[in-house]
Amino acid sequence: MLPISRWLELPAGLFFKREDERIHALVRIAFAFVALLNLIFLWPDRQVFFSEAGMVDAGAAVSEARPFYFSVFAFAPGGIAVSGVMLVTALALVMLLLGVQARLAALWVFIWHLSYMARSPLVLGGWDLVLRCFSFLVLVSPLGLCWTLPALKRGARGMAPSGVPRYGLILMRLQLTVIYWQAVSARIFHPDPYWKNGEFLSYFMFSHHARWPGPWVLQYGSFMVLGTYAVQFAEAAIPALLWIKKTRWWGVLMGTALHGGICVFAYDLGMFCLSMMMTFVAFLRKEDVEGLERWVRERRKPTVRG
Amino acid sequence: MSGTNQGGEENAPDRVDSADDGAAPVKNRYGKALLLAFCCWHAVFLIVSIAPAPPSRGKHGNPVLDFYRLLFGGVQQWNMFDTIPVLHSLDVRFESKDATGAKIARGCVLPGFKPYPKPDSARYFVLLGRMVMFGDKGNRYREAYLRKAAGLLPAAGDGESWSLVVDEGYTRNLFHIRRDGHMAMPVTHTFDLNHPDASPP
Repeated sequence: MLPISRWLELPAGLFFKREDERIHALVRIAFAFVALLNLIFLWPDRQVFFSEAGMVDAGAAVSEARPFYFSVFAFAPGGIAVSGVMLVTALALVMLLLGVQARLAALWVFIWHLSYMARSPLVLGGWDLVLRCFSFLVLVSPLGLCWTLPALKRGARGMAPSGVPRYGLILMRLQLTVIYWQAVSARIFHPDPYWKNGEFLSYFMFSHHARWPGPWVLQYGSFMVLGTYAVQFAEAAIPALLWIKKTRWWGVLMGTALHGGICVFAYDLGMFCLSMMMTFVAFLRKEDVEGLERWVRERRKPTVRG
Repeated sequence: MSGTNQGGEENAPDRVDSADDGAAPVKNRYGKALLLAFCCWHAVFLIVSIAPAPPSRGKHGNPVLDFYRLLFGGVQQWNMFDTIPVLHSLDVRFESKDATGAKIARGCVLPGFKPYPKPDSARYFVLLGRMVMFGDKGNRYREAYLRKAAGLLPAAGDGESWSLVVDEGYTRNLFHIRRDGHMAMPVTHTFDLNHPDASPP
């Protein structure tokens, strides 16, 4: 019988193999940017969604919470307090973006996501759930300190990248796989006639989601059928393409086309598009970030000389 | 798992300042073991989540798993495109009559009774849609919302009361749209603010 240490080699190798920390840095930056955008879009409606004067009753949120209610808004129910919580969150997101006290900032950002989702569960879109899952994974992952403001101040030595364990990236990649493949498996186990007969996109184009609903949709019936099946194929294929090193850019391309298409044809779903594209960053490899760094350096050269 | 350069980066110099906290959240042997256990558990949790969730999840699930989902794992219910979107339009407002019998209206957005945003905002749509149309799930929210609105709206005319009026347009079958060009079938729901706990009509 093999000793336990041998059994642990496989998961240890999978999760603790070293990966360029610049990938973690890019994930941190992309996540903080998208979460900050989400916060900015929530700001005008903060009193409606989160304050006691708004539309979502705190008592109902507490009684509906399973297994318990966790939200900083329990201690900040009023209008000014809600604004205060959101301003602190904005500061934390900027700190996370810049890598200043990044772990502490990530902790607050995670608490923020738990809090607003518990306080106002009826207003949530799919992108909130994506951001909430990633806020936890960013919190427990290496944060990529080579691309931070403090590292920039330290100069070349501060910005030298380390090899860090890749467990955070593996879990993020698995999370993205779940997002797509659960949607696919749901249609296999609980078949939906609209997806099956190819009419889904036509109905989608007539729905309140649609940017341009109108009878014009009927003129493109065949195209809509093709699009419905293409969406299902893309959902199944994107994670597989992203996981394989050679095809990862095809996965990014297909994912960008899918979510970009939704963003163009659907009204007010831009945050979903951005959130999903943020998750693709976790699939980047060392050569990608090296190329990016080289590209930035080349762009900066003329400015420095000038 | 330290912050220094330990592998894979032959050309990169070590970062001398290792006082940062960002390389990894744990640095000792026991921490690593715990981290490995967590990674294995969370990976299994995610892989199992690929199977679609049972419809009852979220109501009376396993308390330990619910706790884990709430704090760490997330709900893991990904519809991607929601269900088939059959709703073509939505408009919500408060209505009553004044002392002269003329119809008066206020917007549905609190605070301030601002009008329902047009074109539809995704968040307002799901908020009102879930509150008004989802019987069980939205019940408590709807009752609380109607009670709050009833306390804030001005007095209506004699014998009149305020109602929440919900105009929905349901997308018609493609065959029928093709035949006469009408995209949606209008349906109106009315909730009396004097009876906020009544079932939706």
